[in-house]
Formats: sequence, structure tokens, C-alpha cells
Amino acid sequence: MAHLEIKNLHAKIGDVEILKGINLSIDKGEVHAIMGPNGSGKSTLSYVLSGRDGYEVTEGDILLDGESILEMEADERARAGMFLAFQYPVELPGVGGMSFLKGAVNARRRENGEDEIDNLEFVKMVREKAKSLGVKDEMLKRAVNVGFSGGEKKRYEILQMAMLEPSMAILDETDSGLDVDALKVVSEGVNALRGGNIGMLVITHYQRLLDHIVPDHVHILAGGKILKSGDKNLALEVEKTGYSSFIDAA
Amino acid sequence: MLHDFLKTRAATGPMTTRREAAATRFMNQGWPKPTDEAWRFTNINKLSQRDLMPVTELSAAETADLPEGARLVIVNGVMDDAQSTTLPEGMTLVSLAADDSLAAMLDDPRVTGHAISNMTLAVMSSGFGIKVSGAVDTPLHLVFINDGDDASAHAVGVISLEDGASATVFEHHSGSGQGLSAPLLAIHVGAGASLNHGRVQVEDDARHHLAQTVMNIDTEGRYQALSVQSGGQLSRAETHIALVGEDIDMGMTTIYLAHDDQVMDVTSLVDHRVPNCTSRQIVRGVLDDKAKGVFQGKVIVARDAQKTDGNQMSRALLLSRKCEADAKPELEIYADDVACSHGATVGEIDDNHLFYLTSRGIPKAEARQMLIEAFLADVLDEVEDEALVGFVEGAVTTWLEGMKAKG
Repeated sequence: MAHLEIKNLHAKIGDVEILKGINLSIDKGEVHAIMGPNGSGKSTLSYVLSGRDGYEVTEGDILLDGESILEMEADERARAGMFLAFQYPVELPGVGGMSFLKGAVNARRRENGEDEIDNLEFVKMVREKAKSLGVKDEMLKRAVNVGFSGGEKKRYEILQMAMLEPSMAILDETDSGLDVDALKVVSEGVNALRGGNIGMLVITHYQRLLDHIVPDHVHILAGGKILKSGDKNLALEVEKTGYSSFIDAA
Repeated sequence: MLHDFLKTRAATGPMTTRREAAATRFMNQGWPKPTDEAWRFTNINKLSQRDLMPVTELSAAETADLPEGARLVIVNGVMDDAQSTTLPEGMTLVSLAADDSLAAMLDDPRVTGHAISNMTLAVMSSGFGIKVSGAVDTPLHLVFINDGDDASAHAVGVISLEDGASATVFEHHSGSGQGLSAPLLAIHVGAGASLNHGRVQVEDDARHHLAQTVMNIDTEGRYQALSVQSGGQLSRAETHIALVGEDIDMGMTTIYLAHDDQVMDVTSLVDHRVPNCTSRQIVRGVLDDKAKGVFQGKVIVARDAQKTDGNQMSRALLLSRKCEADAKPELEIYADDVACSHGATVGEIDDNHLFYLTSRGIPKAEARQMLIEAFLADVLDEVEDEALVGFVEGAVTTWLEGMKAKG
């Protein structure tokens, strides 16, 4: 039994069916990449997995360690180990960064029956992880994502991931809006978190992210279905031939 | 009842002429009606039909929890000498009857044209005047405590900061019963003077509160106001500010918080009469249940008031589909070289914001609470004076805690 199993997943927004039968198994320790053109259903998949309101699952199931999470709210899924790194992290004026991070960490700890984190321990932990991701102290003091550059927002997403230690992380177009240097920093941060305790699903339009976060498996998503799966070489093939050759072949 | 009271009142004592003139004006005007443009959104018909009896003598309202430090305690509109302290060095308490230069500020057309202020002037007791000279570091607390079901309280105060003076004044408004509180304040900020002004209105939910503050600010004057109102069945805080000298910098942040069927009205008029002044107004309202919020804000820029920088922004957060927010922001600009802006938004909690927080494991109810707090923290963060923020914070926290407890 894989850590995350997506079985024949169909989902719609309003009357429009976006996901049309997705099957995917991700184990801890694995990095899967989903590549697809615009409108293929990439972002919908990330939202449906993380439990965002407004999407209706009409068929199929999502299992985390064998248990269906379809009936769970977004916050419950997060506490069960799911994490979504947003393509466009939202700015939250008035929500202090530190109290936000602490609230998230403590929600997780309460769920696991642990005491709330000691303040000093928390500050030390944030500082350490922030430093390795190039997140400046000054950024931590600001309101969540307010006044952050595109690169800073993405680094802040990875910092949250490092703090929350999820068992299943979905990275939604983490490369969008990043220059080469920022892409390197973010990728190094992600790679440092790779390992036996976490499964990762990297969603991207372009191959270049996968030069930095090298996947174990690559899947091509188009029209709400996975058209082809393979290893990292599949990503290189997409880069060479474009998505249309896969879509035409399907 | 009020009309009878005005007719029978003995025409003796201080400020008699002023009071009689106000009584005549009020009897001619009557109570404001919904057909009056200024009262279009806030209907006080029910209040005006009640048998309210003005209180003119000191009564023994509950006066627990008086603030530490220098304070004047005004119970049902009457100065309570026993509970008041001496004023800080640099502030002088004067009788309005004895000092006509202070009392004359009540002859301003913004006061004499206002029905509720006329009523208050007509039935007030002696009122109080405060003169400020030099830099006064100790804040002065003005503590207004009112009670009674059929009683109306009419406090009148005049505060004058001499040129170059600086002061901090904190207004507390609390009370019980179903009566009316109708305080009137006139404030003069002299040339180069600076006033930090905090205001908290947390009267019991059954009371009515109709306050008017009229101000003049002179050349290079500085004014920073921060106010929170969450009390009263119906609460209206009206502020009329005239900028009469150049190079003034003023900011006014107003928060209103309402639940059940409370009505909260924030009405302001900022009158730029001369060039080169800056005014910023920020209004934030949180409405729950069937509550109603009203914001009427007008900025006038006179023909000569070039280089005016006048901004006004109102935002209301609706926590229920049954509440209502009315906004009437107005700019009236007669000058041609100005930078003015205004806006009013009404919205619910943003789903994107909520999802971001819940996707991090924060439970939905907690996430909502965080976003409501953030909506207010965002504007409090921008107020530079920490003492002002400290003064109102308790009222905001109490309201938020009450909401959390309600679920």
C-alpha cells in the first residue's frame, strides 16, 4: 500500500469536469512530477488533494495510508500530513508571520496529543530553518507574504513545509515567477527535505524545475487524465517534442 | 418630555444665554429625521419618541474600574469631583461660565446647526473646560459613566491646546441601562500643537450613544486619533474637523464592532480650508449577526486649499449574510492642485485567505478568528503612537473574545 493513492479520481467545478479518472500511487521517499500544459487540470488536482472548497469529487477516491480523506476538511488533511506549496501564496495583511507559523505548528502538535511548542524552542527552530532557506529575520517579522518578492514567497512556502514536516507534499508550480538563482535556493530547500519520511508531488509546466528537483517518476497530465508515465527522461522528451505529441498520440 | 423640561428650566446660572439660544434652536429643529440627509442611514425615531429626562445633578452610577492616573470622571454628564484627580502639570481645569474664550467654541455653526448638540447645550449642567500649555506627557483620562433607562446624559467639554502645546487625551464611555448618552466636545489644537486622542465607547448594548466632536486645528498642528466603538443599541460618533492653518498633519483611525441588531454610525467631516495640509482617515468595521454599520465621511477642499493631501478609506467586514453596511464617502473639491482619494469596500472573509490558513492545519474557526483579528491589527499596526494603541486594544480584544465565546 502506497502512502498516497489516487484512484480513478473524477472532479468538477460547477458543471465542468476537470479531472477525468486519475490514478497515481506515491510512496514515502519518492518524488513524482506531474507535467502538463495549461488547463490540463494540474492546479485542480493540487486543490482537490488538499481539500479546497468548491471542488466536487464525483467518482474515485484519495487514500492516505489506506484511509479515504475525501470527507476531511483542508485543515484535517493538513494535520494528517498533507502539505500544499502554493503557486500563488496569498498575502495576509495583519497576520503576523511568527504567530501564523506557531499556530500551524501547534495545530499539528495538538492533533498528535503533544504539548504546544515552547516559545524559545520555536523561535530557535524557525531561525535555523529560515537561515538555511535564505529567509531573512526581517521577513519573519512581517505579516504573512506581505511585501515579499516572488522568490521570497516561494522560499517562505518551503520554510512552512520544513516547519510542518508533512508526510505528503504537493508543490504547485513552485518554479513560476522564479529567476535562476531563486530557483536554485528553493530547489536546494526542497531537496534537503527529501527522504524516507516524505512523498512529494511536484507539479510543473516546464522541465527546468526538474533539473534541480530530479524526480523518480514523471507523469504527463492533459485533459484531466494521465496520458503517460515514465522516469525523468520523460520530462526531457516533453522538453524536446512539446506536449502536443503526447496529446495527439493519446 | 424634553420640550417641557426646556420650558420649565430656570433661566439662571452660567452659560444661560447660550443654553437658552440652543433650546430655542432645538425646539424649532426637533430631533433629526430620516429625511435629513445626514441621518438617512441611521434612524433615531424610536429614541426621539421616548420619555427621556435629562440628568442635571450628580447621581451615583456604578464607578468601578476607574483608570489609573490623571482623570476627570463625568457621571451622567455631571462632573464628579470626588472621583476625579488633579490634572497633570500644564493642564488647567476651568469653568465654561468663567472663561468665555473657551465657551465661545460652542458657538461654532457646526455645533449650533446640529440638533443633538443643541439639545445637549440646552440641558447640560456646567460642563468643563481644559486649557493645555507646554508639553504634557501624562495622559488625561476623561471617564464618562452613564446609567438609567429613561435618563439622558449631556456632557459638554471644551479642550484648548495653546500654541506649541502637546497632550494625550483618552475618552472612556461606559454605562448601563437604556438611556441616551449625548456628549459634546469642542477641541482647539493651536499652532504647532499636537494632540493624541483615544476614544473607547463600550456602553451596554441597550444604551443609545450620540456623540459630537468639533475641532479646529491651526498651522503646523498635529492630530492623531484612534477610536473604537462597540457599545450601544445605536451608536453614532460624529467628528467635524476644520483645518484652519497650513502644514497640518492629521490622522484618524476609527474601528466599529457590532453584533446582534446593533447600529454603529461613524460620521466625519474634514474641512481643508487652507493649503498644504494632510489628512488620513481609516475606518474599519466588523459586523456580525444582524448588525448594521454606517460610514459617512466627507472631505471638503476649499478653493484656496491647494496641495491638499486628503485620503479616506473605509472597509467593512461582514461575518453574516444578514448584516448591512452603508457607506457614503464624499469628496467635495474646489481646488485644482490636490491629491485626494477615497474609497469604501464591504466584503466577507476572503476564501483564498481562509484556505491558505486551513491548508496549514489551522482549524477553520480559528482561522476565521485570525483573519478578523488581522483585519483590525492591520490598521492598529499603522498607528505610530503605542500609548494610543495600548489604550484601545483592550476594547478590541474583549469584543473578539466575546465573539469567540459565542462561536
